[in-house]
Amino acid sequence: MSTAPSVLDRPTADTHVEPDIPWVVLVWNDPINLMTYVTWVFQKVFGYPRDRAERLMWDVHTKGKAAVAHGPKERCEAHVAALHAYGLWATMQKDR
Amino acid sequence: MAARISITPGPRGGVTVDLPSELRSLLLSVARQMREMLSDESYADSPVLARLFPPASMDDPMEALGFEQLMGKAIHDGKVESATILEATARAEQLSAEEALSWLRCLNDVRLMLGTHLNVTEDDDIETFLADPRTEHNAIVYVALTELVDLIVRAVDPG
Repeated sequence: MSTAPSVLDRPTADTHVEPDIPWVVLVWNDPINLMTYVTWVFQKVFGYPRDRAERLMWDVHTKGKAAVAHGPKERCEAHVAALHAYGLWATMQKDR
Repeated sequence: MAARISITPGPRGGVTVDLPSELRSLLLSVARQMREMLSDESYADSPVLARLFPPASMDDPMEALGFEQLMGKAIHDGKVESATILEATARAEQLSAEEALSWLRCLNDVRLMLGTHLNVTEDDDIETFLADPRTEHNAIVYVALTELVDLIVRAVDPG
């Protein structure tokens, strides 16, 4: 056994842990969900004021999608689950 | 004279519901069908039901699978619960805030299924589906539920 001072293992590619990259939640346009309903869901799920929720709804409607929330992966997963519970077409991805 | 359809803010964040009996029977029927479909594994691969459980990632199947394993059961159970509550309260005149939420979630899910089945797109005119005997029934239900969802949204405070 070596008596040399112990050295911390150098991180390898296999053990590399990705830094805490923020994620983004996207909501996609669909032809069935009502505009009033989508606005209401944004208010309910995120607590956004009505004018912000409406702006996001119009972004979804006119641009095809909108980034509705950002944050750590776990929080974004909870947001997507809440949006799916209300029937919105939501996805998440790394925000970079 | 048209039958009265009214959903207005009620006590403690709930809503007061005034609907004709036939519409309440329809709600009972769609709630029961939704609950039965969600509980029937033979519908698991149905594209219509799939719209209720979209993948959580557009381009990463492993992320989508991980999300499904983590959250899928809770989302599914929540939809079953909403359908069960709608079924139990379809004839109620007063709904609590939670019951009104269940109505919204379940009725919107039924609209998603009907709309997917009808293949509704932005440019489609629902009149076309109403005029076609093959799609008329689903289109009538779709229109009725669209009106109801809009009325409930306007009556329920999101706060």
